[in-house]
Amino acid sequence: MRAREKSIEFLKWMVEQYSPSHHEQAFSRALAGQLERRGWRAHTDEVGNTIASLGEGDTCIALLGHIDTVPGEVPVRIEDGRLFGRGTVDAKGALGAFIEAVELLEESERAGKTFLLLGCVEEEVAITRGAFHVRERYRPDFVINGEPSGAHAVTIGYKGLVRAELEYRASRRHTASRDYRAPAEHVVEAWNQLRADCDAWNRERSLFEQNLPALTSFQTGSTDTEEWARASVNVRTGPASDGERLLALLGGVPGVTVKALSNKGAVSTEGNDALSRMFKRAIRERGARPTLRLKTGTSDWNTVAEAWRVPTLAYGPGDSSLDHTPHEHIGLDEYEEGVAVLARVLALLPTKTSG
Amino acid sequence: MQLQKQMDAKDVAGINGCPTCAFEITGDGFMEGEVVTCEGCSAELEVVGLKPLRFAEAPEVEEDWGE
Repeated sequence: MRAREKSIEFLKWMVEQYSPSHHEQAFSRALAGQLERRGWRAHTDEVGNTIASLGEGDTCIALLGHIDTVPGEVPVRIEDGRLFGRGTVDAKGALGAFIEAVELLEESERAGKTFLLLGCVEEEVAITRGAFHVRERYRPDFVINGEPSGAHAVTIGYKGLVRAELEYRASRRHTASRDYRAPAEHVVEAWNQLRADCDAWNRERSLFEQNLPALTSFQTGSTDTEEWARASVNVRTGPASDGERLLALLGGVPGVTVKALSNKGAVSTEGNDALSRMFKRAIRERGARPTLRLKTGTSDWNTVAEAWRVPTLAYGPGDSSLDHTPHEHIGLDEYEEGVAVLARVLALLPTKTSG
Repeated sequence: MQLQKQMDAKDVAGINGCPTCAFEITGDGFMEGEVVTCEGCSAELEVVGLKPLRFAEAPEVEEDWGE
């Protein structure tokens, strides 16, 4: 391992390039340029992802991160040993740690490996276009998804996510008419059926296995001739959940139409594959006890899992409870721990020839 | 692969044995970071060293609200 002079400057530079979803282009180009100067082969692809690689080996280790953040700038500054700024934790911290960890490896530690950095766009929005794009174009042997687990923890699973829009439309009628039911009542009935189904499913299941519904928006309206109600629904699902069944349940109320926006399954790892073992070993070598996390959220891991089917987990320095908050920040020591753990993992991972 | 028998309680737990119940666990086929179940007490153990063979309690899985 090469010696490292601790520095937050690279991460600080990345965080200063404000890049909310749909507005990543400038940062993507600038990051590719920086990586080229640092010795990587780098470019931006057709959808705006930053793609970079180092090494020529047959074993491909994908470092799957995202270059977009949620909107809302946080003034970039260093205070009391912490770097403040949008994306310090979610998830430029992980991206920076990926890059600086690879660059610490000696030639002998890189032998047989290609490190493929995938800085995806639009992870924070429903369509996750960046991850869908790379999913079709690469076939890695290991995947580390760059999201904040904490420097001495790994995320071994994310829940799935079903997103749908419901709508009921009807010709306008007088509310005093016989059998009148307002459009809102039909949509509420669909929501209540979903809620009851989830409550029954969730009995005696762990949080990771449960179906967690949320009614995220509700509108009603009318024109001269029609009245309508619309709702947006999310369900965070578990490994045994059936997203198609939940969508069909919503559509089971007569007159309610359902538009499925996304249906991503839950992902998890058992923890005995080479990637998981190397992370646990690297964290223990730092004198810490590894923590394994199962998260209620979703990430780009959910998008690529079905296509890639290789050892995968999520890792990144930082406290995820600060994600999306006005005071998002990362400890400078925490970031350095993340770089150190990652570098050790990348050095330890076996190649196809070493087994 | 595994030979297990009751150890003397004065033996150091964790080396060639379960740190929870001191049941002897030996063998050649372990990998560092691997999680195994102690046949003595059913504790989940992680292999934390190979020469000598050392075990620690495996990390617990925490459920976490967020991403």
